[in-house]
Amino acid sequence: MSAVRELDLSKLPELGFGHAAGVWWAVLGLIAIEGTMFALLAVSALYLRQAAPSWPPAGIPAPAIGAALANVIVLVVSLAPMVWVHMAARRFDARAVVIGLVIGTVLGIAALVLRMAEFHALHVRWDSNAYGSIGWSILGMHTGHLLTSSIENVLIILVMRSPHRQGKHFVDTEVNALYWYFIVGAWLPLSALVFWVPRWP
Amino acid sequence: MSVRARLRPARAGAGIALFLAGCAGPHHALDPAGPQARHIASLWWLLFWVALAVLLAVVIALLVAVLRGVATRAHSPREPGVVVTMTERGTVAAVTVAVGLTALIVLSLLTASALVGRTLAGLRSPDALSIEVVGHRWWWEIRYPGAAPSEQVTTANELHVPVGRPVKVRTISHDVIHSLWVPSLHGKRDLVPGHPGEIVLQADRPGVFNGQCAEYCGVEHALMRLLVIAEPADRFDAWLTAQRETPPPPTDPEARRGQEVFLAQQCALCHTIQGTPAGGRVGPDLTHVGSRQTIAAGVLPNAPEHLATWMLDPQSVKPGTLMPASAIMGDDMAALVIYLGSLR
Amino acid sequence: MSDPDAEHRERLAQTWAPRPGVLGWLSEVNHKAIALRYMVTAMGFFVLAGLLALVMRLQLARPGAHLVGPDLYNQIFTVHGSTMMFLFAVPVMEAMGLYLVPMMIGTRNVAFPRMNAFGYYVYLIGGLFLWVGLALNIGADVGWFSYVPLAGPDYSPGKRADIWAQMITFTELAALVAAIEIIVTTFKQRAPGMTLDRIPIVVWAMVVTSFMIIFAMPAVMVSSGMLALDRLIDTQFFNPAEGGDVLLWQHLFWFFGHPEVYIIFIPATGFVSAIVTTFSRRSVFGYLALVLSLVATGFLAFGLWVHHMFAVGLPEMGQGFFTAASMMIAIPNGVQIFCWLATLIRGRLLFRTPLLFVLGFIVIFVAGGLTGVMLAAVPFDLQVHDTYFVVAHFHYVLVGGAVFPLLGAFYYWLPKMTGRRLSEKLGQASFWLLFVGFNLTFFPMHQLGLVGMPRRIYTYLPDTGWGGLNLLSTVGAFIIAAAVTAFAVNVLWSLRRGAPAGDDPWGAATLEWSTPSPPPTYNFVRIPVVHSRYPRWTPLADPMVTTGLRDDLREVVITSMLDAEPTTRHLLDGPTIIPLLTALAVGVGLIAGIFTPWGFVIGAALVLPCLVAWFWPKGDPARELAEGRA
Repeated sequence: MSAVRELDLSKLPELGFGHAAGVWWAVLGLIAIEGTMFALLAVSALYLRQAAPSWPPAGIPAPAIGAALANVIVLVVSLAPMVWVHMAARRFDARAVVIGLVIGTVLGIAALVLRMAEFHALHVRWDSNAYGSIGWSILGMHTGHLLTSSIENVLIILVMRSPHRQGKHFVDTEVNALYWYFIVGAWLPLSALVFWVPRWP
Repeated sequence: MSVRARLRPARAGAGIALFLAGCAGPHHALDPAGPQARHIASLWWLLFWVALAVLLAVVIALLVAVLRGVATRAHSPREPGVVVTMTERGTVAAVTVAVGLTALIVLSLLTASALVGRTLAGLRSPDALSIEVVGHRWWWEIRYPGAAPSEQVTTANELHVPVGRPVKVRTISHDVIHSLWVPSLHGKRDLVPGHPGEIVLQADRPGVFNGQCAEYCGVEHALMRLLVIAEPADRFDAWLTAQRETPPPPTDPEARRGQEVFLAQQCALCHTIQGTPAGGRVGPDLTHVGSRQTIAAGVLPNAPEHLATWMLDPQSVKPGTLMPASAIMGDDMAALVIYLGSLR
Repeated sequence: MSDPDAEHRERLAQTWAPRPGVLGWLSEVNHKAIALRYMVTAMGFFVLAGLLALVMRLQLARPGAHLVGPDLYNQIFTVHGSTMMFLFAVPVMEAMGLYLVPMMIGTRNVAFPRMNAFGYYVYLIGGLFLWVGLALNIGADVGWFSYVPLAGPDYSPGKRADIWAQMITFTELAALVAAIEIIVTTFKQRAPGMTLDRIPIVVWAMVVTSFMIIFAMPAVMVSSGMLALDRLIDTQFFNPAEGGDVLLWQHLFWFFGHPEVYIIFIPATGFVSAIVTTFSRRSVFGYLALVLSLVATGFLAFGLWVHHMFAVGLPEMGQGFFTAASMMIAIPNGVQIFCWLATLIRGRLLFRTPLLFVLGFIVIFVAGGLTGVMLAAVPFDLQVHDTYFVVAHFHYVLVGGAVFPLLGAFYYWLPKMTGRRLSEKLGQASFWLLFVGFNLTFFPMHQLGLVGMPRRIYTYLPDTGWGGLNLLSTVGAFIIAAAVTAFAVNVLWSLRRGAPAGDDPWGAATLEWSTPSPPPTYNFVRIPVVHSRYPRWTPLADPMVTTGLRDDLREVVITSMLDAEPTTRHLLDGPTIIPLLTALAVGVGLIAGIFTPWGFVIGAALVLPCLVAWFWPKGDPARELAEGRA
């Protein structure tokens, strides 16, 4: 080889947000995986429903919708601080991130409390019949997501206040917000499936 | 490396020999005894010859590549690789034709399959005989309905059908998934708990056709066989009439002793014999057990010594079977066997 | 090479070095090390499952044999199938992807090195879990697809089915991890200049496979989860008496199960493309057609699953749709075969062992694909479904379609991975032994299915007439064993005595051959700039390389997805024991979970601190400086 040309990469930035970041794609992959799981649970519910003489089965009242409505509202409202956190992360504004995540965490805890009422509102146990099993499974799996995301919110708050915080932690904050959008977005059709569809004839 | 060493093994010749070897033996899918199996067999032959032609074409193309390759071979990895940049028109055309042919073949086979499917669906008739087959672990319960409940026949592991008449079999299971399969008559039908189904069988010639459970259903799935016995209509009617009759109390003293043994032991907990207090529904109905060709779901011939072995030590015949061993001794066992043999 | 690079190479070697000792070995995060572990483990499971197959063949060699009783036989066929599908086939393909993809796209490691290690450990624990069950005579015994109600609480007492269900969780977690790695690494870390149409087909195949894993694995997660819940806490998903449905299991499982076999097959087609290219000494014919066929197959594979359920009595019109889709997938598969044949015919063949395995693959896989088209026809399927005809079919497509290309791939790439050549003579012997042994074992099974032999039977009676063909098949199985032994001997011999392979023993075209054999931990001294699909066959007089990446930190370049334009520099993580600890925590939780629902709580409590340790900022001054304390 006579002449070797060089492409100098040293001036490239060291951090990228959005689709320039590997973790962004990883979280998108996670959303695809978890989204597929929710979709399959939903399809299973519809499959069991179309074969059932009635849904809910005879003798079981339709779910009460108070807690469900409240929780949908709480979750949709929680999008606001999350969007704020998202924008703050892009600005490397740690203080705003912390404030936003505190609000988000409070709302997340509220959602978890309401979730307990939602389980109750199903008026059926997980082991009574398939209707109860699938309803509890959908709620249960989503609750798992709420729980782990709320814990992650708290952890990011702590990292933001750590002296060893790095730029990449703001990218992590952004993808955490992304995942929160998914948790809320996925819940809307699922809530309708669990709480409203059984009210249809 | 010589060219001869590169030739594909003569699998075709070996294949045909093996195939003919398999043709001997009891009835099977390529030896159809009814219209359903016959239609399926014709579909099979179409699929087989088309597949063989395609495989031959691919093997020939491969041989062309190999023989050309030998002629133009590269001798060492140091010979440079070529990046072909111009469009290879001839090759594009050849591949396009090949893909087009593939699509055509797929379309034709799809059509053939759909046509045979429609034909099979049409093979039903209002004068079909209706029966029910219930899968158990690991035996077949077979029920012939009657005008009145007293005319219902319940038997096990042997399906009698009249020659030339469609038989609508309702397929039921209350435990695990089984699959009813009599290859010389039709494809199989799974017996799915919660999803009763139906399959129409028809034998066009008299004979004894073997079947076997074809869905893994637990430890003794391998030995859950059944026989389909096709008889001319009059003999079938005679059989059904005989099955409908309650056996009279035994007159032979040995047989009477056998009946006493049967009723005194735990047999009645699982088995039914019409005309006696025995009404258990866990195991096969034994009302006419003496008339069957086999016992233990087609595993043992129905002969006294096999009956005795089965009752004394069922685990030796079918390890894992749910039938408990009985502790019936010598003379009692002999009498019991005689009694059961008398239930024709 | 040149002197200025010598210092650079030394610093790279230091920066990318693993930690020493046993702790270092357990903390390994280099993609090649982890991939090799995956490969060795997967091949170990392959041999174990093969031994189970030999036992089955010995039992079935004659009617009424008493080598093993039904209970043990049922565990054996279940563990054989589950091992081959979950512990060998998918992991070994992932392994090849994890090794080759970063090298072929010109980067230094996968996108998430620690997660990669975690995936391997989770896989290892899951695999051992299944086999410990077998060793303790509580092995799973309900078949690799575990139909309910047989696998449910009423008919499978004890923990056998739970062990199976939880093994699934471990192995598909590992598969999902590997899939994310491959997708993100390929999307974001390709060398500058490697536009989409310059990506090697192996990499395309692994990306398509990874997408399939993402959408298919959740189905088996959901179904095995439902089974575990039915068994553990009395949910009623599959109980018809309480509104559940037995067929729900089959739909969910096969929605995963059918794509699963393409997840196994598609990477193999990538290997075939690479081997055909190198050993025809020319670019592969129809690069675009091949890539589009991969994508089409990936999509179509999700529309076939009901063809496993033709005997349960679904409506005729629905069945017809699945017949059509199942036959149609022959078209993109056919495109691939024709492109490879065209390349072989129009190339100058270099007759070496990898090419032999590709030729064998074409014959055997096409035969298997043709029986697949037969099985797609519902009326015919009803005769041979659940018989040895199907056993023959899937071994033809899986052994022919995946194992033959895999062995070819091993003969092709092991010299790069180990630095030693394999014996060409022993290689060809192992090929012929496998080809003859395989056909002798599995061809008679087509006939056996047609004459009435169902699957999953531990014995059969003499009056069936099945003895002769079964004996033939058993003889073939031992020839296969000889072939596998020859391969193993070849590998072991080459590790000790093989001639040095050099950088590029095959005169190949793609980037992985630009490194020493075995490659250094950092893969490339300089990340190349790619100008062609076949970089080594189109050398430039004035090639371009990158400079400016740090060699005192684990820095790689991130490029844009479509055009591979450099966008950012990025630091990858180094060795740590935390992935192992996290995997152990997951293992404790999942294994405890088959005994009590509190197992998951325990698991979560153990995993949480591991994850905190994983992500907590470490206070590494050099990194902080590099990443900018904001």
